[in-house]
Amino acid sequence: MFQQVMMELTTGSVKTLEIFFLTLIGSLPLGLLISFGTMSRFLPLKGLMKTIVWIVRGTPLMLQLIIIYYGPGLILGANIWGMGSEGRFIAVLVAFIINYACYFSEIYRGGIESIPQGQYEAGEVLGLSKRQVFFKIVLLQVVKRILPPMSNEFINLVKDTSLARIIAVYELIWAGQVFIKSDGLIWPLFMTGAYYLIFSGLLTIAFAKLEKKLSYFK
Amino acid sequence: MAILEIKNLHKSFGKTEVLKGVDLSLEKGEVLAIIGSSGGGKTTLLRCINYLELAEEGTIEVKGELIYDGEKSITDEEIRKNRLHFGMVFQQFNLFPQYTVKENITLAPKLLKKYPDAEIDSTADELIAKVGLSDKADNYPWQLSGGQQQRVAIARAMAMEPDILCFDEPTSALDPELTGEVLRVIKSLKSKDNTMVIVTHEMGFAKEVADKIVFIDNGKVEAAGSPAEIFDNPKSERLKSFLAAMLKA
Repeated sequence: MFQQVMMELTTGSVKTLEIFFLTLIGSLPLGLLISFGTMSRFLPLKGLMKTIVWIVRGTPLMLQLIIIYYGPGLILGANIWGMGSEGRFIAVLVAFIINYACYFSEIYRGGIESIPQGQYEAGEVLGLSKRQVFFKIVLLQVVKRILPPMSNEFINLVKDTSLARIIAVYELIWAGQVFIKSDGLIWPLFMTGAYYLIFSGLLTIAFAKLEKKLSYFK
Repeated sequence: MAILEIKNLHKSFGKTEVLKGVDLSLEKGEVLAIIGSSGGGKTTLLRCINYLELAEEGTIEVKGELIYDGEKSITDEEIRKNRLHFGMVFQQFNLFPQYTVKENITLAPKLLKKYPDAEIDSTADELIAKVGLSDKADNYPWQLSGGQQQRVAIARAMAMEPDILCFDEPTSALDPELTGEVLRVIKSLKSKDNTMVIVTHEMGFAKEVADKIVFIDNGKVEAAGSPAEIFDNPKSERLKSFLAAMLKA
């Protein structure tokens, strides 16, 4: 029995990890673009981006998942996500990436706006382009400042992956819960809790290491 | 021919007119000190020269070449190219915290591929020696005192080999005991090749180092002349009262 549980939980946790990493790969850069949008001097773009961030942050991720998955089929009459579990998985990723990108964008914005204007000016008077100033001077300082709030979001994401089951994407908790119905066992569910704890523990350590690595400057 | 010629520079922030038609002229190798009370427009003038602010009216020429005309629009590309005529040392140093002393100095020359990297490195070493920080080349800004940081900022500006080096109150953010080392470095730069514009509150320093002094008051050049003319024989009433106030402080 134990072996069977572990097999199922491993399958479930692989899906959970996939959601976690693919969401980050998509949302980390997308969030940066959104943050540029919310700081844009072009007011229509700024307004649009701020509205999107407001809607995404102001509604439950669960609702967004449902709407993103079922919406296109019901409104357009076409299931744009494709059939079966593959399609549901893509819908989950789209919802997660948009949701997390919006949260990240606000963290980025806070970080970017906290960099003194003098840093930009010092780079510009040396003849650097705005792009060079951002990537060579500002970005690493931003990264250093946003690490603590980012680690919060990363850990939230670990736990939010469990929402994927709402549109029937098989993930860790689902894998554990199966055994309640089939065998009346609760401990597999506790095991899933341990998985989350271990994973967020590893993240905490990784972030602490990263913070230490960037402590060479102030 | 003047290396720097500024004519009729006007700059407003909202409804406040900060520069009300400033004219300046400077020869190569000269040191110009700009003095005046706070809020008079000194820093704004320097920032207009460096394109950190764009003047609404007036022209700037460097070596006879028109590099700014308030009547015409200017592209980011032109700004980037033209501002290389100038180096800027800020009141708050503005060193890049994640780079060492040497990296601060080599960053821009390397990104702009001014010279081969090896050459940029050896020039940086010379500049670091010149400002007396050879033993700090691999330190990070937070490990330096304010005076040392400002000396790095000076070396960083010089690494781009500007025609004119600008200083915006280079010692105002420093503890009094640290101003001397920075002023000494600036003084040591005085040569027939280095043209400098220094906004300063250090009257003694201005008198000693500058070839020319401009007193800016209420957005205008209220008085200009040699240090002797400005300090020993001030004609303008505003200048007299400014100098009296400075002496009292």
